[in-house]
Amino acid sequence: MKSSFIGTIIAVVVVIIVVAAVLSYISTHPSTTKPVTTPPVTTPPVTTISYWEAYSPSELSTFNNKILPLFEAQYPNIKVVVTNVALSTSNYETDAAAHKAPNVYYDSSNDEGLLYAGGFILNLRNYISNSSYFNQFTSGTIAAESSGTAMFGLPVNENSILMFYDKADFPNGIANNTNALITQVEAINKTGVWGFAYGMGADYGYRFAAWLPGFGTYIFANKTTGPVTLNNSAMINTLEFWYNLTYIDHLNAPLGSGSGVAGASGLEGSLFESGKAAIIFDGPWDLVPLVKALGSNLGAAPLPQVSSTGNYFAPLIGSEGIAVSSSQASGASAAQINASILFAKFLASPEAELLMYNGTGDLPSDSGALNSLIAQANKGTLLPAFAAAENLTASSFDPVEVGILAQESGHTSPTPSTPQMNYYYSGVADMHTEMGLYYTNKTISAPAVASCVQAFIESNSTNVLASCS
Amino acid sequence: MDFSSKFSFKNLKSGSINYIYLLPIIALILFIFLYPITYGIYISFTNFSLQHFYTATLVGFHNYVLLFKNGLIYPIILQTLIWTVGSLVPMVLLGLLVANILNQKGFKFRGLLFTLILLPWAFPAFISLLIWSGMWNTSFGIINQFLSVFGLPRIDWLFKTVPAWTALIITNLWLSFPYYTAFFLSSMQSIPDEFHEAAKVDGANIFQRFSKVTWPAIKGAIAFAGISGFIFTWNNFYPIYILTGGGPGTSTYSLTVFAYNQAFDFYNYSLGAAFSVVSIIILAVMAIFMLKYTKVLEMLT
Amino acid sequence: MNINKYKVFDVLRWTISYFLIAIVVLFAIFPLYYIVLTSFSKLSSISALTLSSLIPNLSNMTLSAYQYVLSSQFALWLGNSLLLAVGTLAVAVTVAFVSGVALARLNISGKKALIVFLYILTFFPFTAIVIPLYLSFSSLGLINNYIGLIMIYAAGTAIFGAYMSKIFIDSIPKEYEEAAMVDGQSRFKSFFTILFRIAKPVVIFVALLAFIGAYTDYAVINVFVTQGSLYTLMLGLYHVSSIGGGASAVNLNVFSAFSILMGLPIIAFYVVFQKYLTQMYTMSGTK
Repeated sequence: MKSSFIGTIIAVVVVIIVVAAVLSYISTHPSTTKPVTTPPVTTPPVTTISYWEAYSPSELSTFNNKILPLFEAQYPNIKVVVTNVALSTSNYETDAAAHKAPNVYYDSSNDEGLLYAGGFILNLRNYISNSSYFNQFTSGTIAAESSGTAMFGLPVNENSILMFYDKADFPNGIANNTNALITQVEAINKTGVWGFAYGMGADYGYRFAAWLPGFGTYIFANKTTGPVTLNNSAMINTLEFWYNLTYIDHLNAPLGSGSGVAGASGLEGSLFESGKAAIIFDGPWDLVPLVKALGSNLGAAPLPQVSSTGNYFAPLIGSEGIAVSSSQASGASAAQINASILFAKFLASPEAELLMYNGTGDLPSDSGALNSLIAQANKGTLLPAFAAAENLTASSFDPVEVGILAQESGHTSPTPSTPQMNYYYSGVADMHTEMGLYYTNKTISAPAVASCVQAFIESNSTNVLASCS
Repeated sequence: MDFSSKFSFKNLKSGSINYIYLLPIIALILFIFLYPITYGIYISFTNFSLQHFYTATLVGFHNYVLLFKNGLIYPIILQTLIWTVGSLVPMVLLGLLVANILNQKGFKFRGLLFTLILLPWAFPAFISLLIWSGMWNTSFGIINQFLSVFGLPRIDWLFKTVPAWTALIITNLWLSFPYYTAFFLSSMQSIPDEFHEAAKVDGANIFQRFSKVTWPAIKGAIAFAGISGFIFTWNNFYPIYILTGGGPGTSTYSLTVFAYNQAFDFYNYSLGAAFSVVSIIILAVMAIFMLKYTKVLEMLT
Repeated sequence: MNINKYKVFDVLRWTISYFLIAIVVLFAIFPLYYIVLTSFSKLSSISALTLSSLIPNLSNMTLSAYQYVLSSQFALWLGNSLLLAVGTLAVAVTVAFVSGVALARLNISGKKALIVFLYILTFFPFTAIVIPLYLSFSSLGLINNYIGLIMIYAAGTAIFGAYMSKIFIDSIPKEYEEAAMVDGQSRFKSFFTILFRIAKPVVIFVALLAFIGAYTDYAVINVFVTQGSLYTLMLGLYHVSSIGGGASAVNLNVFSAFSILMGLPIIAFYVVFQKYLTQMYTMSGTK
């Protein structure tokens, strides 16, 4: 009996390999990205394009149930094969190396800028001949999706961080300058609630960039090349501001960086959502879980003015956009590129963006659509489906949206969309670590920290090893 | 001599026809490792990066010069050794201890306890590491909450060099000691029972039985597991990458993590490849030395 | 007197043994217990658990994370993962064992150089070879294809398993298989079967290694599979538990619930095979 063991094993191997081969044949074959033509007698040829997106659950269901059916009805000759990719940029690059990148790609503007710098995605201004087409987008999102005069993506939303607060902690409204806000927060702190839940460096510097303008500096004076002037007193004042709030005054919960800290589902969010923190810094992308958790107690306001300087904190204004791969990256035919551009334009249309807003709260990048929301919110008649689903009324939801919109149209700074942003992210993550060291060693090393950030940014252009030591 | 003796055991043992049995593994290894390695070495002599993705050219030893001129590589080599040796020694010792305890004849609940001990290894490391990173959190992590029960101060585990190494090594110990336990236990199980019985009859106590029976039988396995573990740990980047990301500063970077960082976070593929090549050369020299010294090479061949 | 000394020593030995094992088991399972509690939590971050909540309180528990996971494509991903893991196991065990026997028992010229060469090739970390491997797989049509993945997973385990099998087979006296042959079994079959049976704990160990490696992999499959219908549990896990959007963290309770459901097949594997891993070697049947 036992002597048949080897035979069994070999049989199992053969069966498994056959099954795997059949399965993979079945599953890979119908969905290759090659153009598929239907029999010529009936309809014109169908162009198949591939689309990679990284939607959140609410975005995905809005896309699948509302937006894609509409596109398919309008363009019956274009078939879109959709893939939800978990980690995108490096996957995109490996696929592009084999000329198998997706035809259409959805990502944040700074990641797309990276891909444009590498020659993976198209300058859409060369493919959309009507240049007035681009005027429909808000200036902030055009800037985010541009590199020089080139435009590498069509923005489908507009976002930045702002203050979300718990109205229960601020019965008389929230202050709009740091001195008054800190006074409010000190009172709240006495009730055993953290003023802020902000993990410095937890999202690699995206949010940290907002504080620098408040003290008079920017991460990039010119978003493509610099000059970079971070090793200055403004940078040090910024670092000390958060250091003091966190470690001296104990108004900000010391959350650390690392995974699982930032955003509504992270440590910040759970402190805020459970009433243990009064303020978090988050963006419209987290509106669905925040509305779900706080209901009508959710408040939103722009980042405050810095009392000591008179400047405002100015978050990076960015967008997520739709990029079209070059044929070098995706192996696309001319017909596929044309179809891809039609699809990208559809996703960036006011119609699609308003559908997305209704399901998720993502703000439109289209000026007309955005203005219609602003008008409705100011009138108190705006009630998107996702808020109605949580039993909010227009009168309880609209103040939140007014606060969000005030930040978008208020003080913001442009998102650097070149590879430099990538180095900046790493620099800030290290900076946070240095601040942790500063805390434990009781020696200030903020200038070292600032030069560390600068070293990372400069190392990019010269291909020199980045290091802070 | 009858006909069947022509196909005796001795005949089976000779002849180049026996290569047939090694063909599958040779084909597999060459296909999965040899081509990509050759190509990777080639990349390290180019300027292949995000900016030169489709236009990479040969640049000679530029990447290697950069790497040594900067000087950062020297502390990182030292850190890689701390990581590897620091992780491996506790793992092997704990694995050996636990395997010995479980291997005792008449040990009750062996199956249940062994299964419980194996669980950390069975759990996807990627998941466990995210959980551990939460447990080490300074303000909210469960580990500091335990410490404060005993009146001990909170420790900034992942933001100071020495605590960061401690956290990394403990986490890595948790991830890997079950593997060594299983490895050693299954090799101890392969020792015929009567060897122990014979030693017992001779009046050997538990320590003598370990040194006279168990140790000679498994020392080869230990050497092999140790060397393989050395190589695996040297190349294992997930724990460092997820827990500290190489920080604070650059003080917990290992060569592999730094190479990964350069290639996949900074899209500087050629520099990452050069780092990998240097890392492998150091590793191969050490591994061959260890293989010779422990006579594992003789065991393998 | 001698017997008494042994009795005292035995009691001491068992006390120490169980005490140490208890500590080790606690160390091993605590983080997993933490995951279990998190999976029933209403909150999605690490602040969900404090010391007092380590003692489960039914009123604070919810199954919502599990419901969320099961409403995803969990069944599809589970099927894919099992297919990959079992395929890898079969290929890796067969290749490893056949190679191990050949290395241990057969006379092959140039064996030593070959072994060292193959061994050194495996020193290269996955991160160093991933891009070239991707390119060669891409030209062979092995992207989004489980055959390619099984080869990658099996290669690493097979070479390690081959050396392990070799070492253990070396420790088995040659008389066993020779004795079996005298028993009149088919020569070739008996040669492998006898060795297979004797080396079974090691073979099962290699099988476990192959199964877990493929089942829990994230780094490889994340590069080689982009098609939703081929997602495994690890890719599905990332997909389901992260809320999307640049600045957000994973939903820890969903993440935990998913990973527990995902762990069940591995535990089943143990329950079925742990008797082999812990089985005492017996000589029965080989005499």
